[in-house]
Amino acid sequence: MKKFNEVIKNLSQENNSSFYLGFFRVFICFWLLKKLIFQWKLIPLIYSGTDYLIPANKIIKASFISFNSGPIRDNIYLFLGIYVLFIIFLMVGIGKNLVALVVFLLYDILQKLCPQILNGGDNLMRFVLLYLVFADSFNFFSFGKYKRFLEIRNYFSNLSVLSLKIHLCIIYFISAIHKIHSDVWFNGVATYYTMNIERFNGTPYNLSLSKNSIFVTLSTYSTWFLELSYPFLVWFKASRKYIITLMIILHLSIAIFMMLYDFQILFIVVQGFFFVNEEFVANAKIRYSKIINLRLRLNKN
Amino acid sequence: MKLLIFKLVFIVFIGYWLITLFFIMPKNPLNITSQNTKDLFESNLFQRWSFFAPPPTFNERVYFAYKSTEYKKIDFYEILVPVLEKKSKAIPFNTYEQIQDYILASTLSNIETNMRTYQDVLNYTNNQAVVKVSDSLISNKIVEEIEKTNDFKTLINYAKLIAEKNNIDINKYSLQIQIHKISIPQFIDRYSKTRKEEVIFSSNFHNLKYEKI
Repeated sequence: MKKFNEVIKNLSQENNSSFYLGFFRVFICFWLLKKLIFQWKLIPLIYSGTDYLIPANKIIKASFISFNSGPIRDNIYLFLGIYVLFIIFLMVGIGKNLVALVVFLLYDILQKLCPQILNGGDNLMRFVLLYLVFADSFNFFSFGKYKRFLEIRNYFSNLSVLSLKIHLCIIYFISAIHKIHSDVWFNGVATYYTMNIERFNGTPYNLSLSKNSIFVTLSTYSTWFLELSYPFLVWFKASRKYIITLMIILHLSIAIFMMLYDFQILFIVVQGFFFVNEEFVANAKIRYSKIINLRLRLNKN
Repeated sequence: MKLLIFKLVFIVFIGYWLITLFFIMPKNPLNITSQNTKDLFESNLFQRWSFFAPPPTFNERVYFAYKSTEYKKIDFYEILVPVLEKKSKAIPFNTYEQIQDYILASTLSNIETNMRTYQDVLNYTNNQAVVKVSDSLISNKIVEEIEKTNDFKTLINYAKLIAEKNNIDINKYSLQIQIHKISIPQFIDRYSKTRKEEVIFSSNFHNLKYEKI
């Protein structure tokens, strides 16, 4: 019980990821806006139901509420205008957690309007937005900071960040155990199949690489070995940097070879939550001191 | 008081993670028996993280066969390859092509899932019946059921767009949709040029003029 009280006390003392939360909030707002801008030409197709795609759901079940999607589809540009406005508010920190909640709800409705175009990145983004509703991400890159109830805010922020980290670990773990169960992953040939799927043919080298047995075996086993070990190794300081670096390399490879850019970039950026404020500050100081030393040496010469 | 609230929140936090883990684990005797709760969980906190486990072992082709009612000739158009080629060419800014690809892929995936479901239901009903029906009748019934779905109607609508692009007068043509699977050879046969192609779905001919969106 004493230890439990200590854990709770530690969680409420300081917002351990305030810097990265601020950066991340701005990043996801750009991510959402970028996605919408690139989809703009296709809005009648994906959201209005006025093109060839027959809408999947007439009744939408979003966040424990069911409603007819017709009025939203009929006024989709108004809906998206409001959505963009709230994203911009969130980006600059206006309305804080209340705006974060609205963005989450609007994003959830948007996903339900066209589930056909979603992938794992969109699935993770929904949870990221949900956790951000509870986090105080307004200490940096924001128009104003919270000044009251800081202990409660720190507590919820730290639990939100912990949720993001646990969710990432669970994703890798679940993915890994599905892979072990699958014959082609177990026998070291899964990459051959993934690189032969025409839908994900990201480079002209996919087919030739997929014929190389060393590449196929190593990439298959290293993928599921990384996914399986990440949820354990990422919590230890000694192994954290290495496992995160390897995971970033894996995500970049998937982005390049399989054309899953937004999806992989989101997974890469979420990795930053495994570093607390002090580590970012310490890293910045090290980098800064290197630049200073370099300048001094140049001046001497 | 504050400490008590913090403790309660922490218990909710632990509960959320236990429930999440319980329902996103692979199917097991415990989570399979809680189907109602799982449905509630999935309608609000849906997540699937199997990521290519297993990866598909085939590529697909969708053929639109336009049959002229006047001249009895058939024009075939394959619709997936052009979208995928454009998607590869447009990298990294291929959102437009990617969405087209996702829509077609999810449509095909739903059709295949529905086919399997109808097949299971009809086979089961047939096994229970005193008078058995032939396999060809079951296949026809499956095609009829698929043709009622929104996914099939999406393909019909897409066929109208393709017809317009290729100057095909929909008043004078009827349409058949065929879905083919092309197997990726096993790794040991990776240098083989032969690819096994099989038709997994072939619709009836539809007069596009009378097909409502």
